[in-house]
Amino acid sequence: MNNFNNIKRFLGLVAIVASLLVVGTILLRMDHGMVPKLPVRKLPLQVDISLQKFHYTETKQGVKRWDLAAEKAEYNKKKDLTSLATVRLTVAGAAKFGDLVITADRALYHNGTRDVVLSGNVTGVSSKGLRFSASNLSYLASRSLLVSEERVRFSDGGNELEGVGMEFQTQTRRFKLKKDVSAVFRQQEAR
Amino acid sequence: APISGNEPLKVKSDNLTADNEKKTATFEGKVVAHQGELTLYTDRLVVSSAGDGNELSKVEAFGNVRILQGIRQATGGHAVYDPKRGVILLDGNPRVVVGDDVVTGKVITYFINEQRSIVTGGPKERVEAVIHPGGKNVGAKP
Repeated sequence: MNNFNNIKRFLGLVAIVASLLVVGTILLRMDHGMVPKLPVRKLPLQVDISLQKFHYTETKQGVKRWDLAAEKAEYNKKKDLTSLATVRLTVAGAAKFGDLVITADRALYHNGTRDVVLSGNVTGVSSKGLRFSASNLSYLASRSLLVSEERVRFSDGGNELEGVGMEFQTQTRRFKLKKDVSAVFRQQEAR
Repeated sequence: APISGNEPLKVKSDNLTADNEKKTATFEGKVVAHQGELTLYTDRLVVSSAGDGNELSKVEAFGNVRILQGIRQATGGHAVYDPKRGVILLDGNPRVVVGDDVVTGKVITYFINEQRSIVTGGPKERVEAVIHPGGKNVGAKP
């Protein structure tokens, strides 16, 4: 009889240990959580929002005025500025002019005024073949005006123009070079 | 050497205004333009292009126009250059000087690739020519 009691006591002990093991495993798993943690990069102090493949379109009365795209955009709420990298600004022109596409390494987008300050290999190409390049350029959205204080170089077919300081009206495609202008007009056969 | 209208036209100035729609480029302030051996100085120069190939169709100079070409010099208040024909129309007290020889009139048609000009008079500006026979420039007509 004694033996039977020992066996009963032993089995009871095993049951208790097994339950404890199960509870412990459950608790451990809950603590670690099964969902893998996403690697979230810590944002620099002055960046409130960071976006990839940024794209913004400005329209007026349903008509697209311009398009701003960038590989990366970092918004600073305090300054209300967005820093852009690998930038493409497309300004819609009147039908007879077509679009003007401007690319640059970097840009600063002023959210309040919607002005875009582009820098680093700034290049503009119109659908009619007019090309220009500068180191810095600003797009004043409210006046549809491109301005630069730097040397700007134009090429249009065989003709080349350059000068220091520019104002370029994107809607009429009239532009002014303010200083130190030189130009070469090469005759070409009509295409 | 004759200047072909196809030679590049090089221009320098203080500033420039360009109109893509009208295909004009207006240079202002101490304008200097070169094409081949011809040099033109003026206050304001309007270069007009035409056609898809942006061919030079007209070059117009306003104010203190001075044209130098070899031993020939022409001056006037206004000039229109036709690159295709190689001709410059000068007015506004136009004058062409070759050495000591001088011609003046109301309008002077200056042929770039020919050593000749046509001088037209007007009611107030009769044609005048001062030619020094046997001068240094024998054979070279203004």
